[in-house]
Amino acid sequence: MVAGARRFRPALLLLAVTALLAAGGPARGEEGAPGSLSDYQVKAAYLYYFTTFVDWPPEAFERTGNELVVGVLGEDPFGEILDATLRGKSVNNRALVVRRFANIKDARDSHILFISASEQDRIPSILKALDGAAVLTVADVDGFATRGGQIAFHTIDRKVRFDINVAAVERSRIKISAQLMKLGRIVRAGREGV
Amino acid sequence: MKWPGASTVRGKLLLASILSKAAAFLVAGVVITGYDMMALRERLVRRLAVQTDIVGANCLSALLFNDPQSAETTLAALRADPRVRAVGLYSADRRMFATYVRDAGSERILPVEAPAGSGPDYRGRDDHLRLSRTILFQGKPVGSVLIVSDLSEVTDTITRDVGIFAGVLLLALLIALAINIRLQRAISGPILSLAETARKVSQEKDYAARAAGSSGDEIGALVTAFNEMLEEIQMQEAELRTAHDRLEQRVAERTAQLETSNRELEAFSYSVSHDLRAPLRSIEGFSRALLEDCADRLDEAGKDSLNRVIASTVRMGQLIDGLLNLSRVTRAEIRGRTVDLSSLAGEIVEELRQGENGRRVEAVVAGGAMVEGDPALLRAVLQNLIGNAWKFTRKRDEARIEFGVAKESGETAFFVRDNGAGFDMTYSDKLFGAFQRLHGQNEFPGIGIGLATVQRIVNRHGGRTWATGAPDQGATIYFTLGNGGRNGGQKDRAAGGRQSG
Repeated sequence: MVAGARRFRPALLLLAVTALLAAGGPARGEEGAPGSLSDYQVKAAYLYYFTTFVDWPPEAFERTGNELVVGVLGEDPFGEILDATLRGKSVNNRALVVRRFANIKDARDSHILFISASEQDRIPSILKALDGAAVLTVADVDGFATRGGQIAFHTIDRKVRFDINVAAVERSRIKISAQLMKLGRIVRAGREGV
Repeated sequence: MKWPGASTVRGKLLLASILSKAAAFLVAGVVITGYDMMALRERLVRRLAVQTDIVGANCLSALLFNDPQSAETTLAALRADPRVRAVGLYSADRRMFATYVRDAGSERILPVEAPAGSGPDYRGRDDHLRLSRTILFQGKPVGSVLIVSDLSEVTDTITRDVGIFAGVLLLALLIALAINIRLQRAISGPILSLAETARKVSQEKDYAARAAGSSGDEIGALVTAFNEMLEEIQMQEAELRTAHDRLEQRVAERTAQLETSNRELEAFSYSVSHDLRAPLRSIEGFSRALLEDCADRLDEAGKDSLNRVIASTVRMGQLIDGLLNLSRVTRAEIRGRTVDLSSLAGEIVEELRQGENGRRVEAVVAGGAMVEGDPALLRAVLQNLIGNAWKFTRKRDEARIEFGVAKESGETAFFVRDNGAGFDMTYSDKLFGAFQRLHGQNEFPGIGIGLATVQRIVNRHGGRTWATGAPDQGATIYFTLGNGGRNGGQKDRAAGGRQSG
């Protein structure tokens, strides 16, 4: 299911592709002028911002050649947007690179892994596969955080917000700064369905 | 100095001391308060800058993730600082993103748009201080924060400072006043004593007075010097008095000596004159007898010689009489009485007119010249003066003789004026000498003793004589009578008759 304007929700069940296109419409609520930024532009920016508010254990970069990998698992809803957002960016002298994965086995070396809505049925197995890895899992699937994911985007009042599953974050040895913590809705559920 | 109460040394010292202290305190107060204010402001600005930076950093995520609610929660933490009146968080497009206001009404001090200027920008305005900072993310501005802080801390501190200074100033001045009043007794006391002594010396001529005070400072030295000066003056005064006394004694001695020798001289002169008379009479008598008895045996030359001898003896007799007169005038006792010079002059003019009838002489006599003196001697004075005037106007067809009263430098002078032969002022000093004559014997006969006699009499009355005149212009002889002349004068000048014959 695609997070987007709530008014499109009944149609989304039937026309996921249409909904994806419609998400490019007004999404930033009262702040953005209509059509200024799409939900995925905002989400891409948020992924970039996450890299600055999250600390990974040092060994997490050993196999990536000191690059910070932002991965997308499954069907990519961003298209060029994510590449455009992260191009040329670096955090703490680590260049940001975008990788796209079809299989979770290839995605373990990511630092941030956006799990596409196309993978929502496989979420429990994906999370299980990532258990113990220092990967920040992000998805815009309903109930992702309560099902053991770390950060779940959702939209309130046309604004993109996120839930944080603190227990899941702690298990992955990733540290999320208080600044980011205070913005997210804290979800305390364990690994439901895993 | 025109300050009130500063007319005395004490007041001046007090004023100078208090004013200088007050000035010092004021300067210190202003400097310290000013410095305090500056330091306080600086500290406030620094604290505010730190605060702004912290707020900016804390609001970074809220800005990035577009979460004004979270930002306002963050900003609300500033409630702990009562000095923060309002905070405005602005997004990158300069729009108001989140705000915090301490109390209602403070909203209006927040601009709707982010203040211009990217860097730190602060300025004190009205009663609050504003400071804005740009919030950066990865080196790029993502918004800005503006904090408005209360300045009441500064004003409160300044008010407190000023209050403390006013209190300290008042207290210090009171203490200074007390100390000054005590100290000044040590300074002004001797000065006042000195002034009092100086007043005593100058007003009461009491050179025995001494100023009190013997402190070791300059005033002590002044007092000592003043006392030494007084001692010197006292000593000199004593010496002066001794010298004066000695001088008076010597004058008295000399006067006595002079009087003695004068008396001896006069006695000698009198006896000589007196003794000369007898042989002179016999020369004259025998010469006349020779002329009468032996006239037939004498030729004309012999007779002429004898006549000349007789004339000479007559003249010599007159000279001796004059000398005796002069001597008498000098020796005679003065009997003081009120004398009417005016009527005396009138009488003398009448006598002269009768003695030589046929001359036209206009005589003017001022009336009411009453004086104190010896009647006989004053008559001699007027006789001589008016007689001279009568004599020296002989050649005038319109002779004029005047007796009058004049004021000469405060004293009453009497004068006899004529329009006769006059005299040359060059010889005015010889006029009153005995046997001094300015005219030939043939022109105006006389023995030259008249004015000498006048001068002696006037001198003996305590007055003086002088004369003015010019050749052929007449002469005026003045005399005063010392004390005797004072009650005389112009009782009624208009009463003076004008006599003409």
